[in-house]
Amino acid sequence: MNSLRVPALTRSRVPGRRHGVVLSAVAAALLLTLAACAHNSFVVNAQRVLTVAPSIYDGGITFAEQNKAKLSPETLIVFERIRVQFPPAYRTFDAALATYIASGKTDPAAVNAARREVDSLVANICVLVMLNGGPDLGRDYKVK
Amino acid sequence: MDPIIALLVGQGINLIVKAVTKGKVAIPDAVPILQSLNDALGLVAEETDAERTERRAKAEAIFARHSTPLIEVPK
Repeated sequence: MNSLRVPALTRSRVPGRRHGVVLSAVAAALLLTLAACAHNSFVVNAQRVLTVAPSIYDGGITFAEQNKAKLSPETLIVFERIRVQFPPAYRTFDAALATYIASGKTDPAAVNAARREVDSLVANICVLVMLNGGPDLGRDYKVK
Repeated sequence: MDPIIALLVGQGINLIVKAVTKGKVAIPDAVPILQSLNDALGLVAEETDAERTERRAKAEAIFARHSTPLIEVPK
């Protein structure tokens, strides 16, 4: 009796194919992990700025207080404006970051805008202090 | 980076290197290497609630210390 034999489905075995699939899966997992880390680094960098910035503010305003007699009135006015503007800018940045984290890290626009304000004030402090013969406060402000 | 993630990524790197070199080379120390890279790139864990509270308290203490005007600013 003739039996109709259906040819068994055979997989064409390409050498190293399985290896390739495993490698691709591992590479994809690595990429996803690194992407998650990059997302995390945005928050960590912002938190570093929030940690370091008050120290620079402290150094700058202390410098102005200690050298009040030597500084020109114009320079003192700029220092005074920074003294007043920095705390609310810092709190806004801190609150924006907290909101960003609480809302599932979706829209960083508010954090970026608030950070720019703090960055700008910190840069002004560093320049003012250096221009008036003070230390390089920005040395500790490495977060970009 | 979370230590567990570092371990997983480190093992992933180890597996890839082993696979690419067909087992001739392995990097069992991929985790410390990764952690050094991690530090260099600034990829560390987010601050905890306690750290955040401490940071805010320190900042507010600094702000309070500089509450006296440096000069009378004309309006």
